[in-house]
Amino acid sequence: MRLTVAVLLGLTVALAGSAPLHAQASADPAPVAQVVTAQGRYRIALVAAPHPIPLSKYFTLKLAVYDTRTPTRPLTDVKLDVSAGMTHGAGHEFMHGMESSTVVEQSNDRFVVRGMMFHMAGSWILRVRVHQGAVSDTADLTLQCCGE
Amino acid sequence: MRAMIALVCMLAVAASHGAARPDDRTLYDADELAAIYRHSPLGKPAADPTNAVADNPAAAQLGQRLFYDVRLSGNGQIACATCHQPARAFTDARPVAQALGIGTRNTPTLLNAAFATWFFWDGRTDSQWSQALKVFENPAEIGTDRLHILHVISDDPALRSAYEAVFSTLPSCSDLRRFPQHARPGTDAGAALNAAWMGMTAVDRTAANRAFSNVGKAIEAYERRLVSDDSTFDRYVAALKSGDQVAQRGIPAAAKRGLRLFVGAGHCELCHAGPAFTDGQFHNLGLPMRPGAAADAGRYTGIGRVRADPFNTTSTFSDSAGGEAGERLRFMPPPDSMLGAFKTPSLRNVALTAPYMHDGRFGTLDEVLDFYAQVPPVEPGRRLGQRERTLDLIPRLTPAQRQDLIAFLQTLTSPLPPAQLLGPH
Repeated sequence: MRLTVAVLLGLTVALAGSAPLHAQASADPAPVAQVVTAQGRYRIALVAAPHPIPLSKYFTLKLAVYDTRTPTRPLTDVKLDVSAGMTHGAGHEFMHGMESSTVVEQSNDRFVVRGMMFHMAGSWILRVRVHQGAVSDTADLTLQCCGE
Repeated sequence: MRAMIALVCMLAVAASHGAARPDDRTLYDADELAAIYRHSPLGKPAADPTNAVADNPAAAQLGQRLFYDVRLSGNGQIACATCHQPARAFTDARPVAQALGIGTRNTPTLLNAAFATWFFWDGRTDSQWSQALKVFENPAEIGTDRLHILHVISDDPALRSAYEAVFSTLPSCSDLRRFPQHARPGTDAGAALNAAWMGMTAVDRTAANRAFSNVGKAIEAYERRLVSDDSTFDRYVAALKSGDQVAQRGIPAAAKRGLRLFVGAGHCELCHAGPAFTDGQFHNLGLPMRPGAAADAGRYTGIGRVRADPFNTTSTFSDSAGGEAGERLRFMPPPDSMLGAFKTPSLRNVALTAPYMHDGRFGTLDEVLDFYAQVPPVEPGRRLGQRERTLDLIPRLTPAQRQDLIAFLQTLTSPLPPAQLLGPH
C-alpha cells in the first residue's frame, strides 16, 4: 500500500494539454496515474510502471484507454503512438526526445509500451496519441526520472 | 606534564582550525549534494555477456599482445597503440587520427571505455569487441584484413598457443587454398581482397569470422582493464560522504565553485551524467561544418551501420544475442532524429585528452567552454540537423565561471592503470 501511494505521488499527472481527471470513473483498481486527452475523448490510465524509473535503462509501461462516455470498459479498437521528451520547464515543445523508439503491443485491453528509456534526470513528458478510426486525441503525463 | 600541555595546545589548534573551516557539505544544497554523489565512485564496468571472455585474465593477456602488435597491420608498422598511446591517456593528442591514412574524427581515450554501450563517435558498433574489428580493416587506420591477422597468429607459435588456450583451435591456415594470405569482404580496400574472400567456402568464411571476432574479444578483455578511477574528485566525494574535513581540502575553492556550477546552474550534468560523466547517448551541439570538411552525419549514419554490422551483438558471433544489448538495437531512434549528433564523451581525464569534440576542433578546455558560453551559437557555417535545444539551458558563462569549471574538470584526472598494462608485456 505504501508503495502504491509512493508511486501515485511519484507520477504526477500533467496539466498541459490535458483535461482534468475523473478519478472516480476508473475501472482499474490502482492506476499509477491517469489523464484525460486534450479534447476530452479518452482517459488514459497508466496501470503499470517501474518505480523508480531507472536512468538510462529500457523499461516498459502498461496503459489502458477508456472512452470517457463509457468510462468503465477499456477500449480495444484503438491504436497508440507513445513518445516522450523533456521540456525543461520551457513551454510545451520538447527540447529533446528519448534516444529510443517505442514499440506498442496490444494484449487484450492493455497496451504494453516497450523501448522507453530516459537518459536524463528530471521531468519527462509521456505523450500518448490515441487513434480510433478517423479520431485522434493526445494526452501528456509527467513522469519523474529517476531512481538510483 | 610537558607532553600533556603540548597535546592540549595541539587539540586547541585543531579545534580552532576546524571551526574556521566548516564542513564542505554546507557549500551545497541537498539537490547539489545528491547530484555530486551520483558521480562517484566510478565502480566496475558492467558485465559484457556478448563476450564470454570479457573478464578472462588469459584473454586479457592475449588482447594486450595483439593491441601492441604491429605485425597485424597492413604495413607492418601500425598497431592499436599507434593512436591509443598509453603515455597520452590512450589518445594520440591529434585533432583527427593519423595511422595508415588521415581520419576524419578525433581519437577517443580508451580509459574507462568499458563503461560505454555504443562505440565510435557515431555508435556504429554496439560492443567493445566489434569496435576493434572495424579499426583493423579500415584502410585509413590499421588497414589490414582478417585473414592476414589469422595468419600472423597462426604462424607465431606463442601467439597461437595463447589464442588456443582461450578459444578453440584456429582454422588450419596452412592450407592457403582454403585460407588465403589476405582476404576480407567489401571492396573499400580493393576488389582483390573481396574476390579472395568470396573464393572461400561459406564454412571457412564463418570459421575465419569466428576467429576474427575472437581477436576482438581478447582486445576487449584487455581494454576492460584500462579503468582509471580514484581521481582527486573521487577522493573529495569520499571525504564529503564521510565528513572528513581535512580530506575535503584536497581540491581548490575554484574547483568547488566549478563543481557546484557543473551540477547546478550550468546544467552540464544533464548530458555528462553519472560516475562516467556521460549519458552514453548522442547529441547535436550545432557545431558548424568546418571549411573544406566533408559532411559528417554522425549518429544518423551510425544507426544504419550498427544495424548492418555482421558482428553486432545480435549476430551469430555474439555470445549472448538477447538481453540489454539486443534491446539497444531493437529500440534505436529514427536516424533522421540523430542527424549531426555525436556521442557524449566521458569527462573523466578530460584534462589529458585534448583536443576536443568529434573532429578535434578545439585545442583547449577554454575553447570548449567558449563554445558553450555562446548562447545562441555564433560560429558561422553550415550545420547538419537540428541543434538540441537542451543547450539553451546553459547560461552565458562569465570568464570566472569558465575558469572555475576548468578547475573542477582538472580534478577528474586519475592515475593511469598499472604499469604492466601500459605496453606489450
